Amino acid sequence: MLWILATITFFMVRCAPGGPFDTDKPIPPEILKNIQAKYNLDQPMLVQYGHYLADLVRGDLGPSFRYANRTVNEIIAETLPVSAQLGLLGFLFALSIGLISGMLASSKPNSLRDYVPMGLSLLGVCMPSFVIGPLLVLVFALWLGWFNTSGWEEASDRVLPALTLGIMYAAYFSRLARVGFLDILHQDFIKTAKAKGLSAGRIFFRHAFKGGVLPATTFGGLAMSGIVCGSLVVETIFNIPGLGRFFVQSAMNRDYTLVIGTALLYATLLLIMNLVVDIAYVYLDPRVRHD
Amino acid sequence: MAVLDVKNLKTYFYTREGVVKAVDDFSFTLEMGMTLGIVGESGSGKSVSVCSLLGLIPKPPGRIVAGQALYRGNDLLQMSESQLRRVRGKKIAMIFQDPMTSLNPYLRIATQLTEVLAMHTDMTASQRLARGIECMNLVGIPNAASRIHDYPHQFSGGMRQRVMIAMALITDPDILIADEPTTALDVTIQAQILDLLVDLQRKIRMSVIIITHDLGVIARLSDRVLIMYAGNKVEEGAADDIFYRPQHPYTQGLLRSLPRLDVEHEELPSIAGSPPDLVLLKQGCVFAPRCPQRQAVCVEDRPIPIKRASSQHTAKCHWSADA
Repeated sequence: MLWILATITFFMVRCAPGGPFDTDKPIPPEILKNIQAKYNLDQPMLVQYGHYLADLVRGDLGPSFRYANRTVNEIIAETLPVSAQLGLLGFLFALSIGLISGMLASSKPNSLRDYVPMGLSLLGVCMPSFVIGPLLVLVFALWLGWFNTSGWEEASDRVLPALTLGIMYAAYFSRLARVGFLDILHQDFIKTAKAKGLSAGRIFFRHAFKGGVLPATTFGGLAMSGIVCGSLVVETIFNIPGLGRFFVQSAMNRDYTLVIGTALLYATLLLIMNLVVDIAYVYLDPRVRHD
Repeated sequence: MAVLDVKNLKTYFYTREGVVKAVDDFSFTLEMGMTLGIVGESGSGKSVSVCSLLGLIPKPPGRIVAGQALYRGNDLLQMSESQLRRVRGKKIAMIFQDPMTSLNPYLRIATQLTEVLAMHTDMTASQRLARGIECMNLVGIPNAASRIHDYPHQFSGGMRQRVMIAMALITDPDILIADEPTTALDVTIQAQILDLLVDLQRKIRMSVIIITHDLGVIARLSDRVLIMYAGNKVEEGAADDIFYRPQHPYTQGLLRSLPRLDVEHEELPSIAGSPPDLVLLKQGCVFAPRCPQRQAVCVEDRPIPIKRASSQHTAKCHWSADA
């Protein structure tokens, strides 16, 4: 899977017009030759590909073409923890708020408890992060002065970016949880549970929970990938030194190795997340287990 | 002695189309250790009537408009939700029609079977498990000790219904309500489940209410039979009275439409017409539009139950006293 992706990105970036060392002023041919030799760009493409794969197997993503004297591994090691923290916080926020509000809504459909979260979630689904982000900054940073407008130094700097990143997914999770629980709460076995004299709380958390969160779980993998992509925008809004900015920049700069490196990293992340979702699915629904 | 005495129960559903009188003036008495069969076609209010007793009607749109249901002298209809919860499952247990959907697919049998005990008794976890296995043995599930840890989808339909029955019996309830316990099963399994119910009742001596549209089931199980039509109890009596001396034209029609081996049929007789829309019920007898013996008075007045002098046998028909 990853090898296919590496191959595709490898050839695609090279097909794109322009190269990493294109500048406004023409570089003297001798210097260009030297540079290309340093990065093996003077060799046939298949040979370059062979070199790249050989390095990749050893876990070496190669030198950055644009950031002199830095390897892709270094750049990732430096920025990934920041992005991972942001992504994780955003995801946890989305999941917790989404599930809780969705469950609240489903516990009493067509009441205030249902309409308020669902109205808010409609807003959340509709507003892109480049609207929500500045709006949050305006209210909480500029007016109320609770947080810094941007940066990544203090612990409180994490709050607004994580919110911005998570709100849309919280909204989706909320709707999915509501639908999931409403569906389960109308099943026959819930009536059985009531007839057994169980309390409403036990029915909700014991009998309806696993089935109720299933739709939201399925969406979890998708949300994770969305959050990873969303972090590109959010990191820009809040000026956060994360990986997302390097990813965007590298595509602009034709920084071949950095593009492939980050793409591979994101892909790996998504594969892992999907695996996690599948495992969660098996845990939640005994019917998909094979024995 | 009566364990359950229901008087003039009325359960209405308030829908956009109008008021659905799902159960309209319904009374019965369940004697200790006896089996009462409630018969009626789909939508006649049999399930709604018993679900009303246990507060299992979705409210809204449902509402219990009037009535009394005395369980050992306490009115179930006046109880708070928490009082009612102590009756449900512990004193009055219920089994439902479709064992495929009535068990929670996400939880192990052990959990579902024994959680009633956790709720209603102070048994320890190992005592509960032992009791669960005991009940599974009682209803004839092989390898109960290991199968109790399985999930519902690992059981066949008949076995799941046995699990449902075990679940209902686990607290030693006074009353077992079986809502169409065999309808969703295939014929051979139906017979096994009926045998099991007959057998269990002989062993445990609890009172049973069995709801069905299958007169054959009723004939095998019931001491008393109650016939429902369009939310009304149209006839009630001892099983023999109902089967051999039916009074109400609807009961007579039902019995006529049973296939018989000793009579040659060109076509199975049926009752003309179809069940009424419960929103549009008129003032007269609910069965009048389809009744072969209809007279002017039937369309004008709702009949009151008339008792035959000889027995505990009543029919809600203007003409039954003449029979």
